[in-house]
Amino acid sequence: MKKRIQDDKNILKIRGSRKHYLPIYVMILILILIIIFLRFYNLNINYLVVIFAFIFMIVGIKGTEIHRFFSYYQITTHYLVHSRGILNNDVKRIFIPTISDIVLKQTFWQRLLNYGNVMVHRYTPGAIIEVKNINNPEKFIDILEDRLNKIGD
Amino acid sequence: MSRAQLEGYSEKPPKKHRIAIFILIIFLILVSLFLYFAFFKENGFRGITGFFIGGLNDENAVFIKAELNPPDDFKTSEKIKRIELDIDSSKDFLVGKQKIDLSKFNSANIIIDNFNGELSLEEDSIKSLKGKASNVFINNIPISSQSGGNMKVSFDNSFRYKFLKLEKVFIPSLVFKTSGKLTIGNNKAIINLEDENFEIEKFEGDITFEKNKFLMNGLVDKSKLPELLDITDSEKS
Repeated sequence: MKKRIQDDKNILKIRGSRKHYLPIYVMILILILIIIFLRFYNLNINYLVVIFAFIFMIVGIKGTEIHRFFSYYQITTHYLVHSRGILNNDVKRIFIPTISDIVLKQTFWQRLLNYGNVMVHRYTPGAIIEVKNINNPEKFIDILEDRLNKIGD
Repeated sequence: MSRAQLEGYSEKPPKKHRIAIFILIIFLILVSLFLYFAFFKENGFRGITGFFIGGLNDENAVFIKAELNPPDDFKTSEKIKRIELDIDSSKDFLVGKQKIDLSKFNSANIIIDNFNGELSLEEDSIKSLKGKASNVFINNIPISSQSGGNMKVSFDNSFRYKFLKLEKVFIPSLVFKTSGKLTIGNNKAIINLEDENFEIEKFEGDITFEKNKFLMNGLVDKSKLPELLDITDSEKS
């Protein structure tokens, strides 16, 4: 196993899609448009609320980026790896031949924006790994299946 | 407990929903606050201070007309629908990025629409006028901003005015010693002040400074008026 890890090469590294955070971006956009509207029509703007709105925007943008940055999925020659955590690092390493089924789950909204969740089932009953909110989930499945077939051969 | 739960992957933690609801609530609070301060201000509420003081509503308001001696100083940082002033001194008037030399005109009539800023007066001079406005006219010639939005307006230093009218201005409170005539509620009560304290709260209307006269025309909060009547009557008797 140690040798297998040493020989491992990265094939795909993927993070959660920004599309997943679209509601937050829309909220930020609405706040910006409200401020522009109030300024344009010379309506009263309470600057304390503006400060809170800017804090909300900064935390919204930075927070989503931090959330994305500290969680990623990786397909290597032998493993499916999920790493997450900001201060604590939680790394799950799944040996690809132990994968039994791969299920794609997309809501209407996710289908529309071409992102979704991939449920990776293992032979062990009930052991499921959810690869959440990734762009092009079908491509991810293709690559994973390809690796599964190659290792199987 | 299933293996999946032990691995902690398949079960969605309810914490995520709580965070989403929390973000949505903050967003809705911010939007509500923006709209509240923007639109309630137009109906009498005045920013965070006005919020605590309370606004002028129709039930509590009474019409007043006053012709008084002007106060020594007057200051407002409230929005003014229109400022009209006549000056004959040569001044530099800053509108947006333009510096307009008023010495070119013999006398200048300036109209500033939707002024939002600070205006302070001292005797018959404008001590400072600094803020933003949607439109500016000098002798009926419009001065427009390049961006088409609001523009900054200011005078470089204090100057004398001949005539000054503030249209649709809100004054949270005004107290000064004066003489003159005050008419309340369409001639229902007429008070003659003789070097007495004039005290009103929450006035909304027009104020004119002209030839040593201070004219007020608008609505005022009823609650302070009995005090004004009492003081005047007791002093007279």
